[in-house]
Amino acid sequence: MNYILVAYEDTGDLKDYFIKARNNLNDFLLSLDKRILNDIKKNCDSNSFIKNCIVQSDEKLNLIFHSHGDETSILDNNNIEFLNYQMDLSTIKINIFYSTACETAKGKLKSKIIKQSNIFFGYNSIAYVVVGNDNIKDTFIECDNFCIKQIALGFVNKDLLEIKTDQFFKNQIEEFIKKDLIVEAILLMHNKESIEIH
Amino acid sequence: MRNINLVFVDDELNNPVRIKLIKKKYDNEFIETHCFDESDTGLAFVLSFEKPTILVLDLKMRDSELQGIEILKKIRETKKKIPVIIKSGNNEITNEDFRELINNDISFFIKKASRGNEKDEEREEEKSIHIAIKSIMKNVSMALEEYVNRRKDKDKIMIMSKSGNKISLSEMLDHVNNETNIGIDFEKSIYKLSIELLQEKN
Repeated sequence: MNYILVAYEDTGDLKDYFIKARNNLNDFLLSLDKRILNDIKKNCDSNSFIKNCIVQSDEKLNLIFHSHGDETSILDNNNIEFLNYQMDLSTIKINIFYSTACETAKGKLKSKIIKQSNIFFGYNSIAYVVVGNDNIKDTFIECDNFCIKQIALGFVNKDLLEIKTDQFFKNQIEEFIKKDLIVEAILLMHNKESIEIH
Repeated sequence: MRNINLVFVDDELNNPVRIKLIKKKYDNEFIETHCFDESDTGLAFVLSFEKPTILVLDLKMRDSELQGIEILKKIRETKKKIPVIIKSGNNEITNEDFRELINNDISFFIKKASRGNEKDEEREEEKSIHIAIKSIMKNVSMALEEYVNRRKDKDKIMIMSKSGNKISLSEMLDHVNNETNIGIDFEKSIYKLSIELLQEKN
């Protein structure tokens, strides 16, 4: 995995979560000597997003989003869209498209992206995070990043990725239940059931 | 996997068109309908599942050893809370039968309509099933309410969606009770979690 573009939203109520999720993934990728080509933060509209994605070589990009979203776009806290289904993405060559935003796997955006990416990961519903306690927040981050970490480790078979991701979520859900964190377990269950890998 | 099994056991359900109509009426994202025209297979199916189930049971099963009351009693040996809707034709039921049904906690009793009045029977059946679904939902809401009230952090904002919603546990409970989209989604996840836990246990 040579080119990784991490786009995340670092303003608003969830900024700590998104930054931590980004850093968690960044540390992991650096430990594998993977190169982060670009790191898009706030105030990145779709034009600058495209510019950031233009690379010199012919190699495909791995796009990873930790941000807000809906079924048509991925956006920041101020509703500035990084990416939407109407954008011309023909100049971008995508290997992996990985979004932990809400509803990326629900509608028009998904339909557009899966046609031009080798692996697509997204949630088809609202994605929840529990932020009251750092340990709980960390579990949600590990779950959000689990599948992309597996891909970075070389697991690219989609069926296997689904099984591994499902099992990882189940293990975390069990841990929550053991600690009587039932609502947290339910929300993680909700996220697990919303995952789509194509 | 859908969250609630709606099971019909009725000797008249040997007609594929009728089964198709029932499934068309009740099957949705939430409910999975199953039809049996033989009492033993219907009973085995109900007993084999741990997930929330509603049973619509014909009292008189032709060509079956097990009649509706026996099926009901066998179910009640292990499953006390399944809502059971009994259907029976005119003159099929004695006072003794009726006492047995009440003692075994049936939720509704529907008289099968005479020819030409089937619509009334259908309406009655739909209404009963709807109330039974509501009662299952209510059990979940009550358990959730009990749990949330035990949590000291219940009023603190701790649940955030990546679409911008900020919710405390108490507010989530309100969403469930008021059947908002968030509440309905949350309730579905409770069922999914329960089913996974039970499957693992088994």
